[in-house]
Formats: sequence, C-alpha cells, structure tokens
Amino acid sequence: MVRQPDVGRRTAILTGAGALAAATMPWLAGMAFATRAPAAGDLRTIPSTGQSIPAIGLGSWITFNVGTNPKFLARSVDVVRAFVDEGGGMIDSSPMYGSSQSTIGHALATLGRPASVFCADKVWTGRVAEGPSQIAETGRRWGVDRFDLLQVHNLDAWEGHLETLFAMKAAGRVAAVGVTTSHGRRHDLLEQVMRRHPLDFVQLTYNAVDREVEARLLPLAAERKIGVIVNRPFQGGALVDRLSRTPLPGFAAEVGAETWAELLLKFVLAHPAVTVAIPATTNVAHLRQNKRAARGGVLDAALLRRLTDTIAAA
Amino acid sequence: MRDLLSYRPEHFLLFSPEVYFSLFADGNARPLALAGSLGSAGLILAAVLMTRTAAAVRLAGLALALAWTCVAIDYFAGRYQQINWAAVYLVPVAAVAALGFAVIAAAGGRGAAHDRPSGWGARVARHMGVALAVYAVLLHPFVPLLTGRPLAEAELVSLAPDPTAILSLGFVLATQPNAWPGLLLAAPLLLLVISSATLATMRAPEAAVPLAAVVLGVLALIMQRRGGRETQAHPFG
Repeated sequence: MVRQPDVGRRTAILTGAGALAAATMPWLAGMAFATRAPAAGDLRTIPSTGQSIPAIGLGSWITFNVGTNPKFLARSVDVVRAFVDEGGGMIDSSPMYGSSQSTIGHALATLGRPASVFCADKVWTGRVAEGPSQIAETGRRWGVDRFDLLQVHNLDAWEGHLETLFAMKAAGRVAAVGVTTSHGRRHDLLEQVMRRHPLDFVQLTYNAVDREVEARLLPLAAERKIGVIVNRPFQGGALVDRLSRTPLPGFAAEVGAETWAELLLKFVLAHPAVTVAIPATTNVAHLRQNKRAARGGVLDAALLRRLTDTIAAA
Repeated sequence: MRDLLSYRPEHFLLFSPEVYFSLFADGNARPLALAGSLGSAGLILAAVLMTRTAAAVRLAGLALALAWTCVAIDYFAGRYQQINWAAVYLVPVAAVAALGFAVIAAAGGRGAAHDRPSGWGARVARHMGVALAVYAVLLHPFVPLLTGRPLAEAELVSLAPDPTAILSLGFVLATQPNAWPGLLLAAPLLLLVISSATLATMRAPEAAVPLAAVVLGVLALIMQRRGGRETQAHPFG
C-alpha cells in the first residue's frame, strides 16, 4: 500500500555530502545554521534546472504580516529558524502581503542568511514600468541581491512583467521565472501562458478538496517540465479546522502521518507533478509537522481515494 | 465573471486578529500619546455634557480635529499601514473628518449654545448623542475584556478610529442641531462601516459595536431632522 519515492542519484549525493560534511567538519555543527540535511524523501527536483529542493516550503500570507511588533517578529524568527533546522527550502512572499517581506528579511538577517533558503517572491503591480523598482524594493526588504524565483502575482499585467523577468533571468539577476494564481482563478489564462512561455514554475491552489488542476494544469506542467508550487494546501486553514473533529483514518499510521495536516500535505505531494507545497504557519510545532509530511510513506492511488472519501464524508 | 464571483471578503484580509488588535496595544504603550488621548477625550466629553458653553464646544471641536489628525497620521498612515497597505486610502477620509471639526471650532461652536433643540426628535437625538459620547470615552475601552483580550488592547479616542468616530457622532448629535454639521458625520460613519466589515471578516464579535454605532447614529440624525426643531436666533448671526 505504501510506496517510497524514488531517490535520484543527485539527491543521494547531496544527502551523502551533507552527512560527510557534518562528520568531517564538526565546527559546522556549532554554527547557528548548520542544519539537518533533508532526508531523501524530503526532496523534489525542479524540472527545468534539475536542482533539488525540499518538498515542503513556507508560505507567508497573513502569518508573517506582523508589522514591527517585537513579540510577533520573534515568533516569526522562531518559525524560520525551525524551517532552516528542518532542511530549509522555498520561502515565498509577495509585495501584496503587507509586512511579510520585511519580516522574512528580519528573520534571515537574524539567522545569518542561511544558504538553505530558496528565496521566492513576486511582482505585483498593474503598471509594468513599476515592476523593476518594486522588485528592487522587494530585494531590499529581504536583504538579498538576487532571488531564486520571481513570479508574476495572480497573472496581473503578466505579459509585460514576464518580459521583465525573462530579461532579468537572461542577465543572471534571477534564477527562475514563474506565474501564480490562487483560489482556482484564471486557469484558462494560466494554461495559455504555460503553453506559450518557458516558465520554470507555476504556483496554483491544490488540495484534497480543490482538485480542478488535476484535469489539465498538473499534467500540462509535467509535460512542459514546469515546476509546480502548491498554495493553500489547507484551504487557508479551513480544511484542517473542518477535519479537526473527524478521527484520523487508520491508514494514516501506515504512511507515518500523525495529524490531518500531514495527511493533507501528503495528498498534495502524492501528485508527481507537484514540486513544492508552501503551507504557512506561525507555530513551530506545526512547521515541524508540515516538514514531516514529506517523509515516511506516500499515499498510493487506493489510499488517496480512501482519504478523499473520508474528507467528503466529514 | 466566474472568477469575480469567487472572491469573498476573507480573501482580502491580510492579517490575523491578534496582530490587528496588537496595533492598539502598541499605540497605548506610549505614555505621551496615552495622556493626550485621555485628556482630549475628557475635554470633548465635558463639552458634550455642558453644551451651554460655546467656548467648550469650540475647544472640543478643536480637540476632535486634532484627534482625527492623530488617527490619520499615527494610526492609518502609521501603525495600520504596516500590516494593511490599503490603510493609506483611509488617511484622506480621516483628514476630511479633521477638517470638518476644525471648521466647527473656527465657527465658534455655532449652534451649540443658543440653537437649542426643542422638538421631540432633536431632544432624543441629543440624548443619544450624549449616550454615544459617554460610551466612546468611558465604556468602549473595556470591550476587549468582553472577548477575553487584555485591557492593554483598549481602543482609545485619537489612538484608534472607532472610539474617535463614535465620540464624533455623539458630539455632533449633542451639540450641533443644525443641518450642515450632520455632513461631518459622513467620514466617521464610513470608517465605522469599514471597521465593522474588517472585524466581521476576522469573525471578531467586536464587529457588532461599530455597526450598532452606525445604526444608532443614522437613526438619531433622521430623528433630529424629522422630529421637529424650534431654534432661537443665534446671537452671532
């Protein structure tokens, strides 16, 4: 019933190298950011580059929009610290998310700019000419010169912004380019953009209830070798709340899931086209639970069906 | 069209309730700002309760103008803007309110001292105004306790928009029976509606408070206009 994901040669080398480094360079363990190397099952491959990336990233919608409140900033630092400790990966934000970018920048500066963070952000303005200055401001808030990924937020003014982002990529000022949607919106347009442009990533909403993307967009992403970032894997928390009074199904133990959140993330990660899921949280324990979802067993077709049946009945 | 219909209010919510309410605690934590707030609120309330004194009404109008200026700059353009970029669009609304009360102050509290309401509607409106003002200053700060939040998050006049708007409603209803000052309430009423919608989107029970203030304020304004009014000649007119 449970299948383990294939572990690529590159992944094995990366993991082995991490273990070797930790063994031969004990001073690394004393550094604040000597992190636990991701386990093999944690990692996915970015289709366009072949680069490995932890399958569980970190979103920042609402959770990191804390202004300058010292208590909430410290809590955000704790979450990012735990994220790095669990192997790091993609942190995603947007100029739309209030103070989230500055909060991430504060956390990264506090933690000494850990190399294991994959920096992803967006351009979000209806005026294409404002794109470059907004991206520069975003970099200032993060405290980075170069992003690993820049995306066009919600496909706003996408043609002009994609032109800007592809020019930046050609100049080596960003590593990857993508576009985003959420809440199942603008899928027809997203499909057109995916067919016409050499995107590295698309970001879309996918979870055990919102499954429209399984029909066309996820297969198309696999076909076009476009990485898929999944937002709202818990429907903004509503799905976890809805299931909170439903007992965890017995098969959860078979795949090593101890919570509904882990099962819901395992659902998303079971699709082979999915590269990264980016749940957001303010809670270190939840962060570690989320990270755990990428480890252990994987839901096969029969378990996926049982899971969706259980959720539908809840 | 299907995409447009898929939007719900919570899709526009950028922050959590705990962060939103912490903005008020941050504002109250500054001793000077707290002292200014309490002083101005007391002065305005005193003017509402003693409307025979035109000078007190002038001073209260000025205090309300300053209170709205503080809300515009310190709250909307400052603390709130940190977590809600759209707050910058509320700055002009609060500025319009500030300007209106500055005009009341400059007009010498016109209407307050000698333009006494004598019709039944105007008298009821005046009493409702006094009640709203008393609520804004003396009771509204304790709302957090009703929902299990700390008193440190109390919303105070000039540091938060809701009590400032409710006090403005009370002030105008209690001291300005003439028609034109009612226009001053457009901005506070709009801000109360927005506040109620924001709180309701956060599923905060406090959403009922600004909504109730709007309903009461509009009812009082209607009664003030339709319930009959007999005015005396103004000595400055």
